[in-house]
Amino acid sequence: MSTLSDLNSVVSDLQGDRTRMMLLVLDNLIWPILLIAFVFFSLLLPQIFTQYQNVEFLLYTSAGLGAIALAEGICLISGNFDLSVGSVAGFSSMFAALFLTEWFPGTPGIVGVLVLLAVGGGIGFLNGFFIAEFDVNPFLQTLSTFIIFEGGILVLSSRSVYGLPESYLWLGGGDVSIGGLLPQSVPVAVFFMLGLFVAVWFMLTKTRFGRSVYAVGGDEESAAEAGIDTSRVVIVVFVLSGMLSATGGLLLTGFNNGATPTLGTSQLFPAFTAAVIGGISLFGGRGNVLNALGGVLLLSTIAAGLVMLNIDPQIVQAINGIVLFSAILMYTSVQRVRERLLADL
Amino acid sequence: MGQAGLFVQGQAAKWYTQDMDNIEVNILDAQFDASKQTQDAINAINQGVDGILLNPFDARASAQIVEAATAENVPVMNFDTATFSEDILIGALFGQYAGGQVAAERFTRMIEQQGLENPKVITSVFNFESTTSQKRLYGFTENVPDGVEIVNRIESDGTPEDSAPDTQSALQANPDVDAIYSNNVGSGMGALTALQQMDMYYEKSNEKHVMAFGIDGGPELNQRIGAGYYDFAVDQPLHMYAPLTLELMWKYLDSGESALPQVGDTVTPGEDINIENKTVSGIQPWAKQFWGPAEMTEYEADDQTWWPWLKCNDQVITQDNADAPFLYGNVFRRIEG
Repeated sequence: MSTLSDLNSVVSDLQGDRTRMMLLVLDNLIWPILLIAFVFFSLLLPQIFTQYQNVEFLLYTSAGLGAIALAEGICLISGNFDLSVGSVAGFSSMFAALFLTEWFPGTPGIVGVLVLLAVGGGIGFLNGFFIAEFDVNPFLQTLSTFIIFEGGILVLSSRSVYGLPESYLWLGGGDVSIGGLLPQSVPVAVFFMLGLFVAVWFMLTKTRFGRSVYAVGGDEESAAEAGIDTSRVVIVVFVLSGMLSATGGLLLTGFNNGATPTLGTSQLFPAFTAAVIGGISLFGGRGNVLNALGGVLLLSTIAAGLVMLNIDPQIVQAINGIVLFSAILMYTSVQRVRERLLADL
Repeated sequence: MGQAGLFVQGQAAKWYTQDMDNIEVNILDAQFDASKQTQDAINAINQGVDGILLNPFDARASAQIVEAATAENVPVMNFDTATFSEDILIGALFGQYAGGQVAAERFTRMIEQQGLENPKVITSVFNFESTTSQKRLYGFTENVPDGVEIVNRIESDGTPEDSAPDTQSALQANPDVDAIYSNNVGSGMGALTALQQMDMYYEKSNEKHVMAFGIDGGPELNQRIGAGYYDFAVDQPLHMYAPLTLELMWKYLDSGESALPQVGDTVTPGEDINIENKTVSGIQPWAKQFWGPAEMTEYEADDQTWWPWLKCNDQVITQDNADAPFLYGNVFRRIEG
């Protein structure tokens, strides 16, 4: 009798392990998809796509978008939209660029970085404050911020600003060599982006504040009943979103070697797409920001691969839309499977 | 063109009329949206205006503006870009197709000098739904020698940050490319960024130099041309279009259509039309009016003749004249700083 009971227990454990494994795969589906996309383009472009330089390029061009996707991702997890991520990136970059070159020329680059973060964080605070304290709809609040600060960039300057301090551009445009480990020096932005994703992931999953963000995103009322200061969480989330957007602007400024009036403004939809195809729930409370990195890399991989294949640009735009649509369909299906698996556990 | 070019086009009307108390200039920004341009213009017509100087986002969509204006007896003139409407009184523009054609002709001379028979070219275009972008591309591709191979056509929103990654991918796939043609200033700056990222950024004097050229100069791009990294840009008299069409509009409002230049005329700056050499913020933006002498011809497109065309001249920016004070990019840099 005891042997039969042990056997049942083992079978049950094995089924549980299998279910957990399937859940793990489903929750991190972006990585096998990214791998398939990379292999697909590598087969079509065998001499080019797997080159070290191309892989480095894919990572490098993902850095700015990566930070902005993180900004969007953290808001989505908290159950909010942030439509202002692109214009905050552009406005804070232009503000800091003018600060360093025209208003206070000669100021060290690090001060410019602090100014940039303060501007981004300040705009984020405004968003969070009105959403949390005045119950303004996040979509409408951030839509207005998006419009205000996109126009604000042109109020600041309609021309590009170059001649920024090297120290300011280093994070987005500098290189580091890793003594013989890699064939050539690697953009600092690549390491910074990876570090940023890990840091935000750690904060969201391993700290009390991070768990509060998931709780508020999952069910704000229940979170409040559990003693979480939901207003504070929402405000801090938007401040972080603003600072991450500004960081994206900093990385793009380094990539371009200057701040342009259009910088960041076209990044909203790619950032949103990357977060969603990375599996971050549109309804809040679920998603892993590390997977948003997978979403960013998938978008960069597809964009680069299609250009290299000389696909008609109009088709590229349509394909980007199809990728997003497929991701939404897939995650809707996955959600059903996931719920069934969770019920089995 | 980029934000600076658009800014200069609008502001030039204000700079030119700032000492005229009886003139009020309202600048409407289409924000790259044809329907917004139509709505804004029709609102302005309803409020009452004496004339419209129209730089359309879309050649066909903007015909609605002309139709609405004509119904209210408001005269409309084109500058920079054409509207496909027979009711346009006159248009002062260089011609987007002609811009691409000039670039093609100059590129042809460059490859002949270098003995390149089958050069590989990447074309980088901005928002291709825009008629302007299409004509700038076809003006180039339809006028280069048959041996020229277009290995990649990339499209962006016309900003450096959007065009640079795609240009970089195109370079990655075609490392032996000979030239990049960009059909606006933002794409041109994106091409230079991509060349820098790919360690392919060399001055013209270096044998590894990849030819980079296109349409429109700009505040920063002019400096890169001067430094020898960008071969040339076909520049338009952007800061002259508004004063030029204002002068034409005043002629029309004072004396009617017969006062305007007629097809077959040659219009000479200072003789037939005089843009005053005013001083703005310490500089004289209209000191050298390279828009003329300009031939009056008929604007033809899509197998139709539309309106009398004051066919303005271009100015090719090269290393020799990149710092000339009469180029719009340098005007912008000096006034806006």
